[in-house]
Amino acid sequence: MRDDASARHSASYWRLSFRRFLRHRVAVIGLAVLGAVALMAVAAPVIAPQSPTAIDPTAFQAAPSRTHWLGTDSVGRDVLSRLIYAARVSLTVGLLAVSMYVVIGTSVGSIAAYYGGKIDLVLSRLMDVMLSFPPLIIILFAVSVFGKPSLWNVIIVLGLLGWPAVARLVRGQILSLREMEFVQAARAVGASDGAVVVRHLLPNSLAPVLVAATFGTANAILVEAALSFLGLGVQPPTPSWGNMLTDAQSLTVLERMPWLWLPPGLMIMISVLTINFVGDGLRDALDPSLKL
Amino acid sequence: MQHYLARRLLITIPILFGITVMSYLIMSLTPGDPVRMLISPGMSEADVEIQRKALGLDQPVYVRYVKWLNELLKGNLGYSFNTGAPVATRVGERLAPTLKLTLTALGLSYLIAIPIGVVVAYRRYTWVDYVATFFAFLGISLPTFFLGLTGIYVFALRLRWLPVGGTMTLGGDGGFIDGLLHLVLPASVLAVAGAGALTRYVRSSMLEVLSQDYVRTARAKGLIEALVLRKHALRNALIPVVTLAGLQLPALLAGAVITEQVFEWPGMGRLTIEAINQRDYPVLMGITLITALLVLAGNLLADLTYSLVDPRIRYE
Amino acid sequence: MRHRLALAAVIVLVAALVIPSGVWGAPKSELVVVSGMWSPPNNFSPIFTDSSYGYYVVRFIFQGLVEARLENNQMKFFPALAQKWEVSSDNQTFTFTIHPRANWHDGRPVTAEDVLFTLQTISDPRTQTNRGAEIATIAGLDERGKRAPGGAFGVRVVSPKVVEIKTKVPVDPTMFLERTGGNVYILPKHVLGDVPPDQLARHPFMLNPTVGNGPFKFVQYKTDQFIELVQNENYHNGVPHVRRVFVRIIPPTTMVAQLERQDMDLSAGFGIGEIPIEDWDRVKSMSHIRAVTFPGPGYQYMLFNFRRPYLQDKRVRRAFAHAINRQLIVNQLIKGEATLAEGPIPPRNPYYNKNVKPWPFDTARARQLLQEAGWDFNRTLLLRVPVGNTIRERSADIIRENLLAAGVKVDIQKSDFPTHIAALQQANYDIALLGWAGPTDPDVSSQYRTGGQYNYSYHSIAQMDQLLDEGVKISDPAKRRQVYDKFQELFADELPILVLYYQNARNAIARRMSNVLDDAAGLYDFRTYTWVAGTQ
Repeated sequence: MRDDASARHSASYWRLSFRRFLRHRVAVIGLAVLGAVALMAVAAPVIAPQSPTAIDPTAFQAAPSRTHWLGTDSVGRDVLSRLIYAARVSLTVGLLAVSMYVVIGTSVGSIAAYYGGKIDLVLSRLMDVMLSFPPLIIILFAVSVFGKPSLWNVIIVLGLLGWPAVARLVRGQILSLREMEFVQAARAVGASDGAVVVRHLLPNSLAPVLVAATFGTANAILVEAALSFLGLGVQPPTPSWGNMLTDAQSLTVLERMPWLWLPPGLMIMISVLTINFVGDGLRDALDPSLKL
Repeated sequence: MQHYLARRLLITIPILFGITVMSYLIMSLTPGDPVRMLISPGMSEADVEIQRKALGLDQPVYVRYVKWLNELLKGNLGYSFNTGAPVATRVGERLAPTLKLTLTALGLSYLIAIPIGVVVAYRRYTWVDYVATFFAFLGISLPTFFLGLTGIYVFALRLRWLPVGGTMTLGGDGGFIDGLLHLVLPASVLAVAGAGALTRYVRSSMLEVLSQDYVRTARAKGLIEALVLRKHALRNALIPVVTLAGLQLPALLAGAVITEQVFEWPGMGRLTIEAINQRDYPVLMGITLITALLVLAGNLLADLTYSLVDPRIRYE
Repeated sequence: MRHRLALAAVIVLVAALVIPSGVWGAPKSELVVVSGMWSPPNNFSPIFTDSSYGYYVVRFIFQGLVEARLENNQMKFFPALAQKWEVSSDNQTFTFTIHPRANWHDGRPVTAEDVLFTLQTISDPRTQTNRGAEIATIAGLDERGKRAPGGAFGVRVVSPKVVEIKTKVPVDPTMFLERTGGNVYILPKHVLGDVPPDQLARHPFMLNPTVGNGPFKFVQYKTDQFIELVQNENYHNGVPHVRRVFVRIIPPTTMVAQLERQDMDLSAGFGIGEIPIEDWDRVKSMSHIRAVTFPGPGYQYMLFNFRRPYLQDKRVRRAFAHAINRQLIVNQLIKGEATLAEGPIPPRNPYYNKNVKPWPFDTARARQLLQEAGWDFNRTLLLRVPVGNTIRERSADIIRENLLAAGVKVDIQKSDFPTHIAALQQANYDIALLGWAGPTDPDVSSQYRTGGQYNYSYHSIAQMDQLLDEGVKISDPAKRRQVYDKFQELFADELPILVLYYQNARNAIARRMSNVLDDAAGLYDFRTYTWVAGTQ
């Protein structure tokens, strides 16, 4: 339990961090772009020029034209409209699934590393067990358990599959931080376990976690498509950037129909890049020792 | 230390046991009947029953598991439902190609990531950094199959420098150069896909080290910048990055599923997919068992490395 | 250390740049042919491999007594192991004379004992095999092709090279010759004779079949990469002109690249190695490749689950036939490379009834039929789609839009193939997509008779059962025809399933190859020994 003084101290720490974040220009721009993409997802029905599922019987895999600004896909649907709607699924999956496994992974990893001994042994073995199963088998099993596919199931499955890797990363990081002078010092002054972990250990192990999270987001957006193929997650005709890209599994499409892969590829890239910049900004803001 | 090691090794046994029990259970609960995957139109129900019996699938799950475990203790991993070949052979013949591909890719990705990561950390928030960041994310934003196809399109079809796929030229002698040329494209695709993230890890680790007191001290002493980077910063920054490689070991052995498929590479990833599509349980159990062993070994190694590179970490 | 690695990488890169292109391509002589198939076979057992990938390879190495081939909608028979055969006047006794120079690859003669051994092995209840149905007409066997207690086995060794086979009742000779004569590959008794039947499936021979009897000899199988075969210089029907054949496992996406690089000469054929539709135009424009299409026997269809009361009214099923724009699927998704037909007997089959026309696309009519049948327009159907066939997956999206336009709401659920089949077996679906290869013999009881093994619609139509039962019993082809004509009319009226399209095979054949039959670039080529390959 923290006393009032340290709580107040903590509040000013966060305020300072926020101010530092605002000074990080690229991060702010990133946040703005990410916000715009999110807004696009929410307002999809208003923005999208056409229905994302309607089929144009005269235009299959058609090049961009006046009626279809970004062309049509393999089933004659408007690529631009699908791209806009797809932001809903892809952003939700990317952000929520990764947040879920980062939170679980960070908690488990830091608990294991900080307390060590039996707790570490048990938690580490749990990670081992999770990592030992072929993920595909777990996914197929999950399909049979869940029954009806939904977005939330994808998030749960991705979360379940992703946390052990993060937990290990955090554990490794904290194991070495634990013995550092500043942590020893904090302990010596009588800081509680929670305070030591939250104030000293976590911010300092944040860097690799942020890298894992940004790359995890891109990965989750792509893996979502693979999952819907196995009967988990959003089912056709609901678009996602990932399943739009799987349309491009052909050398001919790659060479001659860039409108089928370029737009979703770019959207994923923009989203992940902005998340990365926001992450950078966050890390710099939270870690006052980094002033270069 | 010895006590710790002994305890870790001892605990491996119940964990492996637990993993096999769980895998067996999960597999038997997953929908899909292996016998149905083996039959063809024209086979009667009688044939199906003969097969079910021959594969031992007429028995309840726990009986099958006990039999499997019993055989395992005798050193027999069982026989593939699909081909009838011993599981040990099926899994064993995949190890070499998988290792060849993934280790090359791992090496390549470190070769790419370390210099770039160091440079961008040092030149943080300059255009160099942003360009490198852009490319790091380019690799991850496109699916592996897409990177693979792009590679084939450019290097195999347009430039004609490299073969499209496979591990050797058919009818050729399968010489070293031939093998190497077949390895370049898949290994590079895997490396590029992995290097992006790795560059970011190196960068962030490097940034952290650069802000540490001992680096500042070194600089303050007036040492030339290159020396500071090499002697003080780099070495310390690479410790967490290298331990990362240890953690990647099981993932590497699980194989690069998509890359193997695009490039006709006969590795573990493709075997896993095949076994799942056919519900070839004995092969899947074999794969799980080996993966589990490697995960456990990899972790033990990683933990030991932690205490080696950082003597302050002690296991009691 | 790091420097040395970097150096090595640079050397490799420079080498790649300096070495002229083409040197590392296939050093193929004109006598080497590479055929590409999508997936690896599971084994090479002549009596128990998977239905198509394995048999493609098995057919190079093993033969049956005769070769059956469909020419101009007529089944023709050619000598294989047998030099000649006789059919008794009562259509019940078949006598095969094995070619005097027909030998195993180890030099031993192929004998009547080998035929007897093969048929005994297949009919043994302990043997894992999928050939049972092919021999079920033989006397002494039950309808599953297994030894029945009591009755005498109808196979007799007359002399070392002559074997006589008796059937239970008179049969259509064409059917018998095709199934028992053509589809049963003969096993070497001197190699496998002592193996207990229940051990055969995992006998090492099945992965390393070095003693065969066909035009090519097995050399090696590099798991998941390629199978290497070499000409049998002693083949009794003439030595193959092609010296070496590689059957290579190539994923569909890179087939086009392998063709362009001339690293592949043939696609293995219908259902196991075809050109993806996206790449079809590109392959057609390659000057060194002949792009060949022909009507295939395979069809894609939609299943109705008859256990759902709301799908039992045939007006509902016909409404679906009107609602789905099958012509659009064919024209746009398959670029016209498919045929429409309203039944399970392929248009290329001699028993196909030309007078049965597919129901036309007519959304208004569909809506009207649904209203007549009292359809609940608030109901949402579950459409199950197996993954693996891109066109089929895309067609599901069109089907959903079409049905929606007619007022039927549909949720799509994809799943991997084993899960899909499990769902069908548990009748856990409303409508579902599946593919099937139509038979050469018109008997389709296993799918469309009440209680049939593959009747995943779970329908029971008395008149259909009656016609199917009648059809298998008749041995006179002309009379059979009448029955199956009626069957097809009834089928279009009842629609126990809805056939979506019969897809054409899309094959590629290198122009340097001659004597490859257009409609037989792969799976259906029984005459691989006549292939001729020229220089590239």
